[in-house]
Amino acid sequence: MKVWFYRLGSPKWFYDIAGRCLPWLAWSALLLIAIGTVWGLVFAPADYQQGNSFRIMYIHVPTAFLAQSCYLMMAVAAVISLVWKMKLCDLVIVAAAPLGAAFTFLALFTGAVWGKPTWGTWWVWDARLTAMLILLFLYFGVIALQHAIQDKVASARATAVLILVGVVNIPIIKYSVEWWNTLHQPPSFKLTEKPAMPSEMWLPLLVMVLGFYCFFAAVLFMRTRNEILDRERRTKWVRELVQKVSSR
Amino acid sequence: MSFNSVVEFIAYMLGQVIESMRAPMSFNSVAEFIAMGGHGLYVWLCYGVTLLALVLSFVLPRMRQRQLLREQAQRLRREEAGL
Repeated sequence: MKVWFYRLGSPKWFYDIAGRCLPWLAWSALLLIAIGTVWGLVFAPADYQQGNSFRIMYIHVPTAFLAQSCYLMMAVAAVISLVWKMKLCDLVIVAAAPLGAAFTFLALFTGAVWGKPTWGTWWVWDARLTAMLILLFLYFGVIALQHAIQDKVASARATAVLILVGVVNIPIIKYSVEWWNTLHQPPSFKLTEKPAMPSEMWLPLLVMVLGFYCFFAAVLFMRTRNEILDRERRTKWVRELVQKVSSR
Repeated sequence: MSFNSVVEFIAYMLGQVIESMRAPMSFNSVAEFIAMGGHGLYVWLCYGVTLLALVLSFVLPRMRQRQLLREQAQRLRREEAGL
């Protein structure tokens, strides 16, 4: 267990393993998202209240899931980074923050565009919407802090602390629709119950969510590999790798 | 209704997949599909922006990797020439 933990912390080991997983993740993402999109756009029946605008759900829900999952993953990485000083975790955080910000933006954007025909307005200061906006600013804060501090070690520590403080926002997002009864509808999915929607509607959503998770993992691996290449450029293994690639 | 076991859950899921494969298309023509019952602008705007964001977030790291490898190869050659 301990050996495994230390190997995982080794950037070279991660670089190799991530490189081997990448094609699988990328192709599954492409396949799942393609199937989910066609299924959701063409075959799923229109909603009896919202008509066809409900099809936005098939990208709104996965991006909103990922916006929060990405933050939780960064929080786990931040704990490991603070307790065990694992450098790989700092690199994962650097790689994940812009991606998380992108997914949060997409969730907010698709939500606003969906809100226009459904609620009659692009934006309201609803509890969930506000909490998601705070999440976006948290991501911006993390990115800004990384660039503001030159010293890599100090930058990683400050970022990890900021991430852990901001993690309080995640349960607020999750329970906001239950605590405050406002415009945003309650969750479409619960792990332990059958969904309220008919299966023709939520199965494509499940496929889309899986596809988006694969996509996130693939891009996160690519970005972390780039961070490793940059940060470890003076090490022997990166030099050898660069020579091998450039001699091809 | 809740599930009592994992097996029950998987059996339910498989049943749903098979059932929904028999679903007909929701649109009768391409024009109807594009119009999305009057909500075309909203639906296509969302799908368009998301597609753009996904493509960019996949392509940019790939370009960055090429650039990093090229720069570091150049640096290595310079170091060798300097020695």
